[in-house]
Amino acid sequence: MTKRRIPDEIGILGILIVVVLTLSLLSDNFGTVGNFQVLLLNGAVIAFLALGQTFVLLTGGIDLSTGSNVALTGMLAAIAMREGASWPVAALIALVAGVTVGVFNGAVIHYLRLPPFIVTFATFGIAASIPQILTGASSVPVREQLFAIIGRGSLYGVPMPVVLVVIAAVVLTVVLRRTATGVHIYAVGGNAETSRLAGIKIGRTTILVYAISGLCAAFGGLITTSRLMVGYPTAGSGNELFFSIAAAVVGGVSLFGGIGTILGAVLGALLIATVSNGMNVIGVESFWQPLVIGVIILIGVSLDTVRRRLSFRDLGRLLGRPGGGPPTGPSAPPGPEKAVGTLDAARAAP
Amino acid sequence: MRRSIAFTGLLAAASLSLAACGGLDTGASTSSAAPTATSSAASSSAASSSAATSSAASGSSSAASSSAGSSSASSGGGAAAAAIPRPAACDEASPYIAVALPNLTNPYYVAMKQGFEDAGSAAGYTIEVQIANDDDATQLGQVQAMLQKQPCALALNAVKSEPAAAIVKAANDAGVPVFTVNVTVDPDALSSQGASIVQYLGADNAAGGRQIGEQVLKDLGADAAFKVGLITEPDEIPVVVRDQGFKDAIAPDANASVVAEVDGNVKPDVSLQATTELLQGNPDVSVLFASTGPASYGALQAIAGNANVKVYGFCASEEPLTDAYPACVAQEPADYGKRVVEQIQGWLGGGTPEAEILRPLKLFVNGETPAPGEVG
Repeated sequence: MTKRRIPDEIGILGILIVVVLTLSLLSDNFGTVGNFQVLLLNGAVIAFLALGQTFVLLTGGIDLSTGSNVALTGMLAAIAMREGASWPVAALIALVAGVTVGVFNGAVIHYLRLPPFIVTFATFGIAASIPQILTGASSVPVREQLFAIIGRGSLYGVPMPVVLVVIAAVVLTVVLRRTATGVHIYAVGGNAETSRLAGIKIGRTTILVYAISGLCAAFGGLITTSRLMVGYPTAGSGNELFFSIAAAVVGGVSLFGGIGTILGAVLGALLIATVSNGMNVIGVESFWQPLVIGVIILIGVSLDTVRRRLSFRDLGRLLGRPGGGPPTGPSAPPGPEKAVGTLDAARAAP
Repeated sequence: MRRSIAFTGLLAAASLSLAACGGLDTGASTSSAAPTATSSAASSSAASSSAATSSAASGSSSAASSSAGSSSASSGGGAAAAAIPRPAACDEASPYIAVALPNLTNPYYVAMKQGFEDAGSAAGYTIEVQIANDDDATQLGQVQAMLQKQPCALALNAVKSEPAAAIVKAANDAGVPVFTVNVTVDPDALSSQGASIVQYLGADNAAGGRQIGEQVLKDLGADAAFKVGLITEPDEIPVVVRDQGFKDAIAPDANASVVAEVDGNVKPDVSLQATTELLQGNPDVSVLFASTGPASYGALQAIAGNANVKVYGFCASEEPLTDAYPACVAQEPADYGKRVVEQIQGWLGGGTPEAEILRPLKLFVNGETPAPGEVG
């Protein structure tokens, strides 16, 4: 396939650059290497959740259980280490638990034909309660010092959680763009019935995306627990869930399935992390922070939607330079969003 | 057949709406500050449905007039020790005490719950603890449900100060005395609803903040130059009071200043994140004041490896004090629970509870470790 239109991520990247430049102008301390490390580190959990959420959103579902899955998996790791497990075993237990929650979500959604919103909302409650029941809501300190590698370690100066996010993003991008499974995920989100008739195993795909979301949440739980070195039953109960969905959507992932990329979701998570970091660095009063983030999300999504509706040719016409910029191929998609999605899926075919 | 189903449905709907109106009416029509158990029960059940809508509509005006009438009774922090109702349940073999707490995600309330339960069983009371998950409306519903069981007294640790007045009012109407703990109920809201509490017991938060501020000056010198970052929770009154106490204590040092504040949301993970960002924005900050226990914990993780910053604040649970964390003050929530039970016991024995009991905070310094349950 040739380059034939503006990549979907350009819009969000532009907004991100504008926000970074503005914040750098407002504070000398924002644009430092140290702060970018902190920013990426603090955004890592949301980025992980956004990666998982992207897979679920691509099939037209939604995963509301990720936030409490963070608490569940983090607490399980801490409890396992308290009971004498070594840290890799504890981490493995957390990851398996995360995947289990995801598989449960996917299986119930597929086999019982229940709406994802309801199923994952139910598991949200279940996953939030289990750690509290197990520990009587008290926190569990982690004594295994090597466990700190996950959250506090670094590789060539890059914080380990950021390294993990990058690895996960690359792996998941390959899965989405270079494998049959990736095409299936886009196809199910584009049109589930057609996909079924085309021979795609809908159930397997659905369970897989929720399992990936659960796995990503487990990584979030491990990072949170490792950074604090304590399993905390309310971890992930803040804005993480909301921000992960917002990050994916701001990054161009459609809430209705079939459209979006991992890169977009990562950029979305980066934008949200930048905004929330910037406000604490500059010293914006805390009451203003949700307002500012809300406005940024609205602007991001609106600009992206407007841009998405314009085909490249329209854009060229608007700018008064028809045919300007990179060449538009014969298959440039002027159609509605769904059409773009199926083309995306076609492009992702191996 | 169909007609009988419709008739039953209509009947059910009518009785439900009547019940709802009865519930509505109690809030607006009972204006006396401390009604007895029998009179309030009578007034709520006898409330007629036709009057309900009009009295609900004029609720604000009747509440306003009642506040004028009861202002003398509820002055002085809203405590009315004059006529404390004594429900019949208090004279049973094992009196039932209702306890309402905000959450169990903060170790603070886990300890307080334990304090209530231990002291209650030791004194021969039946203790029921309800947890509101930090939601005012949930807490009101839980208390109303417990009031149905006619407790001897209500021990209330409100979620938030203003909405709690409605909970106190509900207990007053049921003739159940209210002992508040840890979170004060807003006096204006109390008087405007014509409600009253028996007692407030809790930490002296302002003094706690002052204690830490004084400790900072003691450690660094009375005229030391340093900049302070606060990890706080701006929409919780006790926390704001702590911050003010701290600021007052360091005010005499002209070279010290508070340069930044972030919201730690009383959660370690949020505090960790906010503190790292605060330090990025203000590299010259050398003292952090964390005004809650979870914030202290998050701040400590945030400065790990940075020898230029010291954390002072309200104690993180069971966290040893070090050079980087030289002093903290702790509350004793289990002790507060126990003391509330003792206060109820004293009152049942004929004593008059004090309107307000402020407990001093326990100071820990380098080398010490707060015991389980001694938290900020």
